[in-house]
Amino acid sequence: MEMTATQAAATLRELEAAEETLTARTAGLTHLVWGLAAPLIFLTYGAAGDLVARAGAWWAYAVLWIPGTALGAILTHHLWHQHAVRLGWSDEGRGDLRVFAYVGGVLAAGAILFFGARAAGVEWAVSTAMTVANGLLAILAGLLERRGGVPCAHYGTYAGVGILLAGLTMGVLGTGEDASTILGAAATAAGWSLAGLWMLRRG
Amino acid sequence: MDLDDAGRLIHQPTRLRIMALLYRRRDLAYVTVRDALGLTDGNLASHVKRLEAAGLMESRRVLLGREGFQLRYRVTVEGSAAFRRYLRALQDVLDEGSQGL
Repeated sequence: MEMTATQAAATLRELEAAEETLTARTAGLTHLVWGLAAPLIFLTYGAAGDLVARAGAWWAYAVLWIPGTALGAILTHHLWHQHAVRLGWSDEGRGDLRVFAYVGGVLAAGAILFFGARAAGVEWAVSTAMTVANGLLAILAGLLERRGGVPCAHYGTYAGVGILLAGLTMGVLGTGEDASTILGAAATAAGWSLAGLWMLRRG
Repeated sequence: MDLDDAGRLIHQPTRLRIMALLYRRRDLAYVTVRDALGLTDGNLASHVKRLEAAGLMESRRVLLGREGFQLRYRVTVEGSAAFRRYLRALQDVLDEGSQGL
């Protein structure tokens, strides 16, 4: 089939749109995965927290986040590998300073919020701090997705801002541990899932 | 358009889309390529056969645990170079066309 140069250029432009759709779907599914994995982390702390406290095994608090995070990470890796989606840096963008600036910025924001709250004499429940951290991670994921050329990555950033605001509100209101666990699980489930659904709709 | 052998092979709507997708993503599952481009199994296989024979891409089976084997496509180094040459030739023609307006 003979094809002119203009037709070839049009074919490439059409493909770009199809590729964006594919990436948006993958990103949407990824956010839905974290809409399950993130609240699972809160529920793990909620369910096992009392047992750990009674047994005096305080060290377990440091590892209870691992099952939920591992589930999310494994499913995400599988999805992104399947669709050849890349995060942040590609082969061409090795050493990209902006990616490190994003990570550093989010870590700095987390440290300022944590130590700022402590300096102000505000005692956060563990789940409140986890909600704030989750919001910051969601913002970071959105920024990295944007650097990786994922269309509609801004939905992920908005979801992160929403989760962060929910966490900060819980901190200001001084919600207790049980309430924070439920609110944190609800905020992260809603934030990640809504962003995923928006992305899927866009895809 | 002034194309070499590889360029002439790529210069066909379906093969151009396959190569463009693989050039950008490097490595993709067969199902992903088929679904993203809206091709039938037979249509995709016939074009892949020609691109593979020319050394522009390669396919391989990857073990995915319990799910069994997955067929994946990957652009070769020669394929990447040929596609870049094709894009340059296409750009030249389009630039000449726009200057003539």
